[in-house]
Amino acid sequence: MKYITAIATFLSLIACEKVIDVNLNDSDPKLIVEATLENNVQNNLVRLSRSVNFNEPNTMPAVVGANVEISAEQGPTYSLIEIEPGLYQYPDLIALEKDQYELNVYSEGETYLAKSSFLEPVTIDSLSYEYKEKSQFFDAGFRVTVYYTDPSDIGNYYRFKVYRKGILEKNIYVSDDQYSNGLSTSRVFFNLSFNKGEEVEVVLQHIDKGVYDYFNTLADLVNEQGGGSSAPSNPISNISNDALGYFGAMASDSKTITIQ
Amino acid sequence: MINKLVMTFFALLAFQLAHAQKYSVSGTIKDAGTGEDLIGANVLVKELPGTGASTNVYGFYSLTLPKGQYTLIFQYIGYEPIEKSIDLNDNKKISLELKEASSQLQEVVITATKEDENVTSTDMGALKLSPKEIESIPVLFGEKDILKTVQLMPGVQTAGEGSTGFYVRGGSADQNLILLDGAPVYNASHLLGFFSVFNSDALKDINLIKGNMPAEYGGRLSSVMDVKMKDGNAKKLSVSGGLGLISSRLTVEAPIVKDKGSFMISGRRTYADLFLQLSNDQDLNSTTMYFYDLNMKANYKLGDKDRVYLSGYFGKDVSAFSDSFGFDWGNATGTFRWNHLFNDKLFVNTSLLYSKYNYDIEITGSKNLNINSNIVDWNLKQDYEYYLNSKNTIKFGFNTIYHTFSPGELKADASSGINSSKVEERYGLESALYLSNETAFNSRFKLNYGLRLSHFAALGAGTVYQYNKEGNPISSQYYGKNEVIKQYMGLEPRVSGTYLINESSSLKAGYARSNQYIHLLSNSTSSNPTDIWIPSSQNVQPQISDQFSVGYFKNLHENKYEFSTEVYYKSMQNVIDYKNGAEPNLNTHYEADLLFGDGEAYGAEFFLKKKKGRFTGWMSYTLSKSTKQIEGINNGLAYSAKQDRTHDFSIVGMYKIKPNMTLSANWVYYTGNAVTFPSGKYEIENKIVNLYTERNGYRMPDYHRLDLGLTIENPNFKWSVNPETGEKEKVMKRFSSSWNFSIYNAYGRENAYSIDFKESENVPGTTEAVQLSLFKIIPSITYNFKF
Repeated sequence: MKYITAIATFLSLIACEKVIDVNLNDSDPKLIVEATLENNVQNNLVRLSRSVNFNEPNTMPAVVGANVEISAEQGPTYSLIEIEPGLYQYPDLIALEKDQYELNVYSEGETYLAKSSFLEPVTIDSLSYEYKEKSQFFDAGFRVTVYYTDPSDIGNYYRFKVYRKGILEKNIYVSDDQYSNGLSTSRVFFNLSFNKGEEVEVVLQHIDKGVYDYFNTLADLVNEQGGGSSAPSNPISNISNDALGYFGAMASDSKTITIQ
Repeated sequence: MINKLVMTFFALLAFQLAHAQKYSVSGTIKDAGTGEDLIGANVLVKELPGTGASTNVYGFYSLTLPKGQYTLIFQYIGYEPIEKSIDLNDNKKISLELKEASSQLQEVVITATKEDENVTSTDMGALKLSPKEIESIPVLFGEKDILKTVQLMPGVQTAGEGSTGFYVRGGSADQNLILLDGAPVYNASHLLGFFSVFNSDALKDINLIKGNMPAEYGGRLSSVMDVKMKDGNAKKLSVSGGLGLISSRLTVEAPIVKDKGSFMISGRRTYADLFLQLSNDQDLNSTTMYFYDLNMKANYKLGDKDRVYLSGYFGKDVSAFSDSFGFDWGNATGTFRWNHLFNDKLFVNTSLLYSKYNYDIEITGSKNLNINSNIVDWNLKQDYEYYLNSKNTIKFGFNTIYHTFSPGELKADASSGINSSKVEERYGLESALYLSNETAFNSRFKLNYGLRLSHFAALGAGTVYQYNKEGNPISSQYYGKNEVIKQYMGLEPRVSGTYLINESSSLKAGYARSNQYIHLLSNSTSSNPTDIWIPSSQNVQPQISDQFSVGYFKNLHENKYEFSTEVYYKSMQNVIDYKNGAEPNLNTHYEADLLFGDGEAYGAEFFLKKKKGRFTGWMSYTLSKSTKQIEGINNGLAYSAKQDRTHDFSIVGMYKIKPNMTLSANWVYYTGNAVTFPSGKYEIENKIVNLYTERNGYRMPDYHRLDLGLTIENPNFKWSVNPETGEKEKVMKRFSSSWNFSIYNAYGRENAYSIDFKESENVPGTTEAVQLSLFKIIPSITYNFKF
């Protein structure tokens, strides 16, 4: 990927970009599910919306009046309450345990189902930062590194969320333990450059393979990078019945550091 | 099945055996100036119109005729023909040299073949080019490139703007077998495909076969591109070279022992990054990015019957950014060849070949990493040509390749928090036996029929996994060294026939089956140095194609014009695509990311060429379709392959304004390739995500471009007064040189290289399509010299 970026830098000397009109087909609106079940969060939410045609404005219609339920394999079923159009909330904080959870959505005569496993949280050992000069690919500024220890069994998956002054950074960061199984390992957010005085929060989410596959394939679409796949396709969703989006049980740990 | 085919083969052959007393005349034909073998030079019999022979790739010919008196004509286009009378009462040997026609008389050479060969030969879907022909065609950065010229021919498509990558008749890029002196070249491109590894100064002859492969070729479904290096000047030391904006070249050729052996060394290096160093931008001036190529060849004649050749190629791309990231890749090939003549009729070529492609990524800084991958081939083959009589030429031989695949290795510092890992090496033995005969049933009907028996064995040592539907490994088995993991065998019949309607037109038809045992994993739009080759295995079956084609060939105005049209239909089995989210690199379970299905391609090709006169050139048009159907992609429905292009048109013209000045132009127009665009969008975590509804359901915008070129040869003679006659006459100089000016994309068309669909930067709350165009009006200048 870096290679492509470098070539793109070279080509940018002679290349040019312009906005063009492309005649795109209409598409049937699809149900979009954004459902998380996370420890350390007061109110877990499920957001339901629909897709629109590409040339329409970025206002996605909310899906109202749906029946949303969450159940643990070893526990009761909770019904969620619609607190604003398209936004469904758990009645109270569920004590999350290592278990498999199931999401059921009934909307406009259709049923949608998804499963996700809540795992043991992996704790962040520490955060650090270091000043980097401007380089080929990145701006000058502070880079933040997160340190954690991967469990000894193979097949652990992670998502990292980085908040700058409380605002979530747009890039999606995921990782697996293919090259770091059982190691004390780290991750640098190369393309995020921080300034003195900024508060940085890193959330490490231990996720199952289904959620990892979703975010890994979503990252291919939303992260800004040159080149890319010749045949982009929708992210791998863990929701049935042709809906898009994900249901993720996420065992989270977070730490905050202020750049001094 | 096999028995039947073999019986048919011998029955056809027996039918051809005649009884009259016959003798053969054989020998070699060379260029008188350089001593290079002439490939495809003709020996015609004046008394027997329609009878003749042409030289093979080593300049050897053999012709068998009934006892008698004959006049033989030896000819090669662009050379002065020689006539010789012979009394054939014994086997005779005639080797001779033809002189290049002097430049005043010489018309621009467009083909290196017999004038009407396109009509009379059984070749279908075959293109022959010599570096000479492409000299004046304008190209990007002035770097003439055989792979780019080939893309101006029917049935051959460019893989993208400025790219040397190509697709043949709807096949994918890995279905092209590219050979350099017989050794496969696994990645024929430099610098993201803008240049090919072929330095045209070092080349002698290029032959592209678009599918109806004769039985001696195999291993890929779509095409064979057979590139041959120059042997080297056997007469005298000669030096040639060129200086360009982006690269320079130098070639030295000389005899080892005059007329017995010679050598050639040719080098090329680009220096585009030197311009980057002039930049004030620190990012750019700390960037290294160049490539080089080195071609070497030597040959030596051991007596009348034996000749040995040793040739090698070594090329590398080097890039480094700010000392923190290094990326190198390159090919190396080696060829040892031994030509032996058993007798006047039986010629054998034995080759030992080596080929390697590798890449190496070095990251230094907070983490020290090294990632590398390679493929190495050792290949032994023997090709026999038996000139049975004037009506039959039999070819047979074998080829066996031992492949070693190293899909990827990651080395990391202990402190990096990353485990070093390695994807196990894979081994394969790919072998083939073939037998074919080209026979002239009568003066009108010629048939080339053959069989190729191919075999592939995936060998240990290694662990083989079985996967369930979800792609998770369910069992594994370890195989010891050279233990057979899985075998595949294929019988590949090849037939093509020509029926001469009259002297200037013919109908041809052909059928060929091919098996492909090794495959390229490439998940990006353009050719990428990190693409990896993998073998067939328990989980990956060989790709198989069947191609049928029919053509009409016609020459007009005494071979001044050449017209041909061909239609083809190709069906392919076990073509490969990827699961969503596939990561082929450094992945032990890469096989679990693959999906297999069927492919289908068909099309019509039209070609008109003007071969002689001050104005020469050609027009080519292809109408085609290429689809795939793979379970797991596009809901199992057929979809257009990414190389599917409906219309593809090119026109190339060269006009000799003055004997030393040639103006050239080419214009290409094609409709866009199949591509996946979004049909909708939605929101996740406040990010706008594109919604895709079908694979390759859209088309890129139409592409068109005009290139212009001007070649001026500096006078290579001076006037002097002959002291005896007192007249002025021309005295040739040893040193000759030329200037080449070219403009790529002369009218500055902004062709789409890629289209991005993203959130608008200017109008918040909306999305837009952004087109990236690469090259707009790129002028270049090159100076070439020779002495």
